[in-house]
Amino acid sequence: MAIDYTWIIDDDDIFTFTIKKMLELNHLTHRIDTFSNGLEAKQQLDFRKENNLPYPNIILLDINMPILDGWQFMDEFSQFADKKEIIVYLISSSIDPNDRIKAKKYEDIKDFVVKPVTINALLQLIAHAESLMNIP
Amino acid sequence: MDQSIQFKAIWQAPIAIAYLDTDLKYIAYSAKWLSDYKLPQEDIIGKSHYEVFPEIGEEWKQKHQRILKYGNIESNPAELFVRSDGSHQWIKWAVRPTFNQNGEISGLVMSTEDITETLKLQSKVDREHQLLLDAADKAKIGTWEMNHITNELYWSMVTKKIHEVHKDFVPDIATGIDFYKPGVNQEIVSDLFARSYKTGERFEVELQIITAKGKERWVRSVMKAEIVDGKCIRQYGTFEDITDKVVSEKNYKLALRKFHDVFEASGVGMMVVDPIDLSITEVNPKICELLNYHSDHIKTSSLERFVLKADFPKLFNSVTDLLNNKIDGIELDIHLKKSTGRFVICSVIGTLIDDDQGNPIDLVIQVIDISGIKKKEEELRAFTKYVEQQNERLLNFAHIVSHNLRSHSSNFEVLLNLYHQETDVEDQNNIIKLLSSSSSQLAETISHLNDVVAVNTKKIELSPIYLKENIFKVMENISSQIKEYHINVDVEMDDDFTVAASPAYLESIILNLLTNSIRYRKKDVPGRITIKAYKHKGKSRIIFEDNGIGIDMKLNGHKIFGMYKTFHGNKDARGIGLYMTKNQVEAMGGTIRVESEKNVGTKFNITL
Repeated sequence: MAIDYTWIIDDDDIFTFTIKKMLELNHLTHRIDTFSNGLEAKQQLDFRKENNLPYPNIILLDINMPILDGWQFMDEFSQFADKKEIIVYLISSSIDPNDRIKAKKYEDIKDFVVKPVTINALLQLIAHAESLMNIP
Repeated sequence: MDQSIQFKAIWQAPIAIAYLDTDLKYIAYSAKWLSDYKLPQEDIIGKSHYEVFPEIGEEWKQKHQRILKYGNIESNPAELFVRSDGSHQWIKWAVRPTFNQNGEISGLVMSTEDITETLKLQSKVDREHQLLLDAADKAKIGTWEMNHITNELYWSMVTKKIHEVHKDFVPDIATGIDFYKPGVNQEIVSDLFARSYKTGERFEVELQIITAKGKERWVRSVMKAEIVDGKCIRQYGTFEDITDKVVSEKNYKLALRKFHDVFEASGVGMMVVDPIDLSITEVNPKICELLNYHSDHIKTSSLERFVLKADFPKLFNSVTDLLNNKIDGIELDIHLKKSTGRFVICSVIGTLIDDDQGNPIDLVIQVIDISGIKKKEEELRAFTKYVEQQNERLLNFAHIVSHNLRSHSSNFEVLLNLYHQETDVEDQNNIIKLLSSSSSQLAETISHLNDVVAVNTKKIELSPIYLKENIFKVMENISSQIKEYHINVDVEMDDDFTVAASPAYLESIILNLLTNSIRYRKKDVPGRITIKAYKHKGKSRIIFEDNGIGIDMKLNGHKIFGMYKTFHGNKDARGIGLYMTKNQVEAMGGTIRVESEKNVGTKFNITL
């Protein structure tokens, strides 16, 4: 059980460090890239499309970020031609119910995970992703 | 006496008269005799009466003989004669004997008067009189007549009915007067009755009677008198029950007086308006006070004069609807103009008054000054809005707290877990470093939140501050930055321009906006910041404008004043400055707005 390629989009360095560490220690993914805001990730997606490079299988997306926040990234992502190949999870420390309601409106967001992300939560998330991807 | 003169006098007599001798032959007659009996214009002197009138029967012949024999007088005030041609004549006649110098009966004198026409006229008068009485009966008007010759008092059926006496009741003058209510009523009627008796004057009077059944009624009594040779032979008149009319009149007067009292003393402004041309016909003191005009200035002018132009159409439409029975009354809030030119918002209630036929005659308008209520409403609305904003800020703050504190605490938790799993010492040290950096971030966050709480809870004392002086003071503190980045700051305002503010907040706001502009300056052109201030509608307007990199308003406009929102990925941006600035401005009762365009610059408008 392992995902091929994972992205973490979050401006919180400690969060990205810890998630990255957990994924690595548990061998849950083969490759991880991190971006500190939505714009960087968006540019990377476009770059990969142009150069026919593989897309990430899953994206762990934070809401509050500078430049392009999680919502703005999703607005861009929904226009992305190959979006069906990518599974997006929203990860936030926000307990604002409005954020949950808003997340439901994005059909491209597969789930909403509240920080802190424990190893159990992460295992469940990966299992969920694999079932969506039909990986045995 | 010369007989010819005597005969000539007889010929010219205005009545039909004939002198006959004992043989009933004509001695003399009047011209009227001939014309009344339609006799041919030939001399009948010497002719026998029975020759001239062959139809005279035996009965008359005996009558004539009796008079000639006994000297008595026979007469009839009205007798019907049927002439030989079949025509009818009513004759008033008298036959007397004539006497000679010796006192012996020498013949007869007949005088007759054709009263056919008079009788016809009389019967017509009687008929009309009867009709009049019938009409009076129908109109419930009674009649009465006091005959002073027979001393009888006559009451018609209606008169009896009004007195509530039996139809066989026989009144006399004393009981007639007794029916009037004792006191003034009786005095008046006695006095007028006596005066009418004496002078024949006509009187009309409205008085109260008490009927046989003890009921009080209002009556109108009319009396007339007929005086012959200075003597009153009869008094008569009409008698009418006017109780209903008097009562309804009284009620009407009472209602009118009550309305008038209410109208005058009302604490509500009232006016009576012509519903057709909207001219004001009546005003009460309260409306004069409300509009600050003397009543003469309001009366007769059109209502339109006092209504705000923009409000008039809806008032006009309401009146039209009211006249067309589409609505029962008018209920509107409109602005009325006072003599001072100021407008007061008033609640207007209009009701239409109809006459008996249902035609609208008056529009009664009540006016209540609701500017006080409106002001209170406005205050309440503002307060509600303030509370809502406070609530929203509080909720927002709660989410910020949860977001920021939770992200730190979750970092601690996860880092500690990793630390325990980690076997590599170098990696463990790495985690410790992250833990300590997370800890200092937490401390910083708590300090920020503390600042925010302070701004939102501390009671703010506003005092007048010289704005320009304060801007220069802040610029001095950051003079190294201004110099280093070659920023040109223009402060365009009078030296004595003051703003009511909290000194600490104002300083913090100026500092934040200046450092913001410096931080987001364009690297390739010299930075320029312009600060202007002016008074607008009693408030201070302060404008900070820079030529920096600007903000994409479409993308980030909603996030500018949010906490921990940064837009440029700038490493020293902490996303707290503008959040604090907004909080501080609002804590002082002001507002802050932003206009910005990417690559052109940013402009902050502060109103205090």
